[in-house]
Amino acid sequence: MSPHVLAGEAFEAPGTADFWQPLVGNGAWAITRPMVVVALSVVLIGVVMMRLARRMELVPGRAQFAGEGVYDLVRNAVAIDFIGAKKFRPYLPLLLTLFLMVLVNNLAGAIPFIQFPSFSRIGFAIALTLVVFVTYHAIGIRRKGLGGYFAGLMPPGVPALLVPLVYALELLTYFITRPLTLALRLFANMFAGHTVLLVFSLGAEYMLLHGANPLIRVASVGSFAMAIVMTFFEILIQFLQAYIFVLLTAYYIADALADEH
Amino acid sequence: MQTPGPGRGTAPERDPDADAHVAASSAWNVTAYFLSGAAMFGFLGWLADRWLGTSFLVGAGVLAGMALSFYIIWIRYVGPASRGLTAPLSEVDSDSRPRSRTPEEMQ
Repeated sequence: MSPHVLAGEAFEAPGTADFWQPLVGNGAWAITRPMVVVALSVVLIGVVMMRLARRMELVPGRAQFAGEGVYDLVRNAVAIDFIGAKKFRPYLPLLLTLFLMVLVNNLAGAIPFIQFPSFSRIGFAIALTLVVFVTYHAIGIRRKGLGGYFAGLMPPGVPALLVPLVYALELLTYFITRPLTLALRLFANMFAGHTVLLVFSLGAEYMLLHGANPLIRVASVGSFAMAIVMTFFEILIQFLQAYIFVLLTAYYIADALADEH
Repeated sequence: MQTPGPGRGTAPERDPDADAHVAASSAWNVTAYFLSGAAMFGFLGWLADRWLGTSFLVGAGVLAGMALSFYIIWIRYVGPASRGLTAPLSEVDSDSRPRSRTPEEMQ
């Protein structure tokens, strides 16, 4: 049972400590629960996508239909809409991989027994964001050259007096705020969502097993019900965050590909 | 103009909801500019406060940063130099530029 119940009489609200779950070893080199979830997700995505790609049929079965639905979403609603019908192809593998990676790891937070969204540990969100960060800057620099890329960050039509201020702000946005918000948005949504689920489920458990009177024990039913309702709400958020992550990645790539302003 | 490419079966069509997707991402980018502006000038104000021993410059810096962010957002997404919310995109690929719908399509 959870340490909250064994700890004694007082209810201890769940916090950041609940997200540190080493499975093997401890300290900096421990193998943690989210590491295992990410490894499982890579195997799952790899096996499922390769099997789907190998057995393509003209009349799709249920699995192929679902796989093509995901592929179409990323290809049409993200890659083509943002990068354009002519240039989206080289970036589609990256966008699809990112989407599936974020989606599966987010949904892991709602799958019984796994129940841990990997990106509620910020390190995983930062790693994924670094890939995006390096990619869109590399695309821009390869296309326009180092000088051209940095010159292109400046929007046109700004009075000379304001140029240094505006340029400093653009640099900050492209190099710090964009990656920071990309990583934080994913991490914070997953962390907060999982914390809410923990509050309701641990609260229900505590009320049921340690309630001072029968009335409180009965009230635990409400807390259990909320945990279930919020789990379904979380599934929506988990999907939405995966979508927003690739949406912004596609936007940044499109921005790096854009001609001089 | 949407002209189907030669061969390869179906030519990629632009999703009718494309503008909504672009607007959604623009909203996040606008937020990024506000954060940058407030953080940068707020920090400068805080430094100036420490240097001069005052306490109001950090607030003034945040406000000035927000004002500058408004200006950049206007330049990039609204003003005469921009091409609407889809600014970076219409430059990338003229084929996928959103076009106004013809009366027949409206029905």
